[in-house]
Amino acid sequence: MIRMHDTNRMQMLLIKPRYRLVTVGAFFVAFFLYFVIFNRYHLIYQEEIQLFLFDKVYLRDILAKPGSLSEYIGAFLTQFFLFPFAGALIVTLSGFSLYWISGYIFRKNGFNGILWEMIPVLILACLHSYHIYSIAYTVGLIISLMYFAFCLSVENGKLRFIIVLIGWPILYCITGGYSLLSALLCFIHELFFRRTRSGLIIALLIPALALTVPYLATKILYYVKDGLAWTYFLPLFIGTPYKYILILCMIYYPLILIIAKGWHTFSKREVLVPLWNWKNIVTGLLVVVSLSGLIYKYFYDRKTEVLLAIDHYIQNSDWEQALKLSASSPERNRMIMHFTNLALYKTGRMGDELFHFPQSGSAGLWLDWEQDWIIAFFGGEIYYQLTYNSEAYRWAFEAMVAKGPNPRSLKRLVLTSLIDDNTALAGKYLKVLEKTLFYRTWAQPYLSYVNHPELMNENKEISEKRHFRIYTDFISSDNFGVRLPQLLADHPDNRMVFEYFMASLLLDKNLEGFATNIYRVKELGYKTLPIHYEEAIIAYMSYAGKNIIPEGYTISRATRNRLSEYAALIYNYVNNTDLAAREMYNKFGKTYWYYLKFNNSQPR
Amino acid sequence: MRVKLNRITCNIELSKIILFPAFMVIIILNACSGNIQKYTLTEKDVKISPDYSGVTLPPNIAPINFTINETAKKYLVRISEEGGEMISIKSSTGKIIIPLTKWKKLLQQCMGKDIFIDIFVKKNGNWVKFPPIINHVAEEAIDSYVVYRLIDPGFELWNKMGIYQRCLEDFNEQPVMINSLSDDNCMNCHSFCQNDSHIMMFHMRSSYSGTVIYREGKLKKVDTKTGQTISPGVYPAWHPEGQFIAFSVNNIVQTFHSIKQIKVEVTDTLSDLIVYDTENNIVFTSPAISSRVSFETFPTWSPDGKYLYFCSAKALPLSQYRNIRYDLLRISFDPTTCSFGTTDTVISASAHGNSISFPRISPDGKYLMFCMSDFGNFSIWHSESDLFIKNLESGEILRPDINSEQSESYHSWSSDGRWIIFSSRRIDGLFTRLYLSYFDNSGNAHKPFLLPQKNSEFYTTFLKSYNVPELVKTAVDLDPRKLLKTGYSKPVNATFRDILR
Repeated sequence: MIRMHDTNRMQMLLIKPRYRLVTVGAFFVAFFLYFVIFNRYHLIYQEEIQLFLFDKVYLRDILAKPGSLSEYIGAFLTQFFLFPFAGALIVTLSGFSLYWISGYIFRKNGFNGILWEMIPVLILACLHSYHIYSIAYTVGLIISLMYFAFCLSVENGKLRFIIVLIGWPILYCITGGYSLLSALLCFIHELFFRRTRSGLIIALLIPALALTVPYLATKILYYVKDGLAWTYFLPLFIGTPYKYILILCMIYYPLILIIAKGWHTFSKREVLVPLWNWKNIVTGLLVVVSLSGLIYKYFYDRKTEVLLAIDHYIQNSDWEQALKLSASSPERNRMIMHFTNLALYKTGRMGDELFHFPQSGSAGLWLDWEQDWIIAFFGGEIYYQLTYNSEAYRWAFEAMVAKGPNPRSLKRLVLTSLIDDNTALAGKYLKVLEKTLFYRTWAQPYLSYVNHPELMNENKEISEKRHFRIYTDFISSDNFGVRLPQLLADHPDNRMVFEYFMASLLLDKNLEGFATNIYRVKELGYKTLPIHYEEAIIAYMSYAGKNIIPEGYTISRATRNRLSEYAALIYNYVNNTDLAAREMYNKFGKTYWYYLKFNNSQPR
Repeated sequence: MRVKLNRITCNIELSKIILFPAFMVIIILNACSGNIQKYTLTEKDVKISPDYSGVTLPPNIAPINFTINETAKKYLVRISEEGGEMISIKSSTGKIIIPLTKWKKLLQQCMGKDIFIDIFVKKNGNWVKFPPIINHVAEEAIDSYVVYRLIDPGFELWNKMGIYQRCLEDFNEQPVMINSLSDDNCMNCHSFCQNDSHIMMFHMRSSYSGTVIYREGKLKKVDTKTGQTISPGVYPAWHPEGQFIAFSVNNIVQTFHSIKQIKVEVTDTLSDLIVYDTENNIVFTSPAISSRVSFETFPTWSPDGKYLYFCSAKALPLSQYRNIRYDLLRISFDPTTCSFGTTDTVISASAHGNSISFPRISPDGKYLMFCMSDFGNFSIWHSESDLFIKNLESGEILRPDINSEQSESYHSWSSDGRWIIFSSRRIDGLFTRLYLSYFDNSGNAHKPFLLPQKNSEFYTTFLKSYNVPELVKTAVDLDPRKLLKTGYSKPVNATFRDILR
């Protein structure tokens, strides 16, 4: 560490601009790559659960709460997350803004060194690793720090007094609870760094403002629940450990200021400057690398990223990619299972490869209804694909209501309304989408159907769904599941419903039901029997003693050979089921026989 | 040659008969027409949205801003009484925003008279004038405020909802209570005593459950559930004297349908009526209105307070929900002794395969308005639900010409009985909007019009439904901040009193 007046030596030892540029550049390139590669689907998901509208009512609703402008800017920026590159770039730019402002604040308070400026950016990386941490909160943080930076730049005490007196209440409206951070920083700065009469007055004014403005604002301006006035817009709802990181972020800046003051007081030096020497470079590098490692280990949420990636590919009908990810997924939960099974059907592999993937009964074919927006948001897809249109509409609507308007739900509401011939309602949702930046193009062709419904016949997807519309009324209630028998009764030609129905029977080990319905393969024009159907037919025939092979079909030689091997092997483990399960898994783990005999697991 | 002549003659005739009247070109040099020196008259009616043509307006209604659904470069609207003062509005988009002060002045001048809306559009460099839209201004003002709940017209989940009051004389909308202050709970069934905004109640559900009652300037929160009743109070009706509130108590089940024609069915599996005495904190009922063999619901009082009207159906299991049909009954009531008399049937709808809900009697006691659908009682989910009016003096039942192909449901009368407000899903079949209709001395409901908004295209993208519209004479002097303390408080438990003892 050096004294300020020892300028020559300091010049030698301080970081040179080009080194700083390289260091900071490398850091932010890594930061960008972390988001564009590892959090790609987090970003896309954030875009999918919001809807920025160029609309006065939308703006009015946002302005009715503390933190309004931050939320508005955040929502505006989030719509670009539709493109992961742009999303990662926006997060990186917000990180760079934070770095830059932090540096300015620290330098103004006699505290220098790029490591201290990088730490808030690393904190930001942690927070943005959480799938529902919005960029709006980062905007709030940055605006709050910008305000403090602005206060620092004003030397005139009277002017600063006015800036605090008028500016801080405005800041509260713009950033909500984040304004408390700048209030605390202003207080510390005025009290310990300025040490002037005007500084003391301002230091007294700030707590008074911080105490009264949020209270008065919620009594006059905003409708905010008692007790939340001071913390409104701070995302304290986020789960641990992210919440602690947010708190760390809020105390980091005051802590740096206090350390800086302590250093100045005790070392009698004006500026705390780590030198650009190998010791500090290596130490700094180690700190950054270690913190990055910690972020990756404890904050990067790979499970959610994989789930969101599978969901993304399902939404984009990239079934092969969804299956590929599912196969590599460490998770075996119901959400992934039901997406996997959908992708299996869509690739024509459900009857042949259903048991190549983890299964846990028919519960893995769909999600049970819960009064929870996440279930509604993800779980509605299967109803649409099966052409259970009323439920597809309901789940999309529930998701829209619970989470607020979002593009996915609105698009689904458009399609399900059109399928139901409700063009007026579809038109309404389309008009909402027309007010967005990126979905108005999607809305255009569908808008033409509103005035000319006959054009819908030219749309293959809608025409097919309209063909499979249900005309027999039956009631769905909570956890009735997908009413496959009723759907099939209405449309025996709905191949997807048939395959799901058969899959549900196989998964629930209902061989009687399977035997009763196997005749439908002929009606549906199957050229050969799917492998799992062959296996199930053999399993049924072995215990019921009845031939249920549909006329015109045979069991393939490969299946018969496999059966011989299976029968021979299982005979060896008659008295030891556990051992049999372990030993036979590699060879027969992907057969229905294995599932039938050994699988008892329940989905998560 | 003769053929040719005939053709010419024929063309001239055609021009005379069809083209000439249709596209009569008039060149008018008229100082009164402002900027427009020259225009073409067309006989084609102009389409405006919302449809504010041929309606009767209250003299105190907010400007009926609208959009002209014609593609043109410029638009000009002139609103005037015949030969009188005029409001001119220019627009380049077709959205017409009428200045509030001038509008109010015009309406005051035109009470009991017609107002004319002249619409000009500029197409291909020429101005075209449409036939004027003629509206009538009634002499009777409408109550100044309407209180409604804004909700998502959804299924099970909800997010933001609130009870709001809207000044009908301008566009000011203020919350009475919003659920963001009470952990996003459900709140419903606001009700007033005879359009008096100073006597009010509504329910809060979930974590802050209870019925908030505002009366004589005091707020209290009550739990109307007792050991002897099915549930806390649900659908309310204030007794005209303000001391009693009749409630239905219900066990309500929602089911979701598979066909496109019907999305949701809301069915009662249990349903009785109770009366809550706000002064003595007592709940009482009578076997005649709380029978196990029938469902009683939707209470409403006669204006003199001597009769309690209600809907009643034979109690059937949920599986037979399509056979549950409600008749309209009434029972006499003596407020001094809190005793009920005998029941008689007012309308036997079930006999004709219909079902009645939401009966409301006009303040003069002459008319009864109600909803009628094929079955059940939750009319908002029944597209066939229409409003009907029974003349209580003659017994005649009419289906006024205010209905649509979609559901017409909750409705209320103004304090003088000259206006009705009702909810309808006629625009898109789902999002409920409010319509106002003049109800004249002869018992005729005039063409309804949509509740005006500052932005004429407001409803196009607004994703909330208007629910339970209640007209009140003055503003509700409550807001979420005033209601917070009571809302958060623990409710006082009501006591059940057996009036038969």
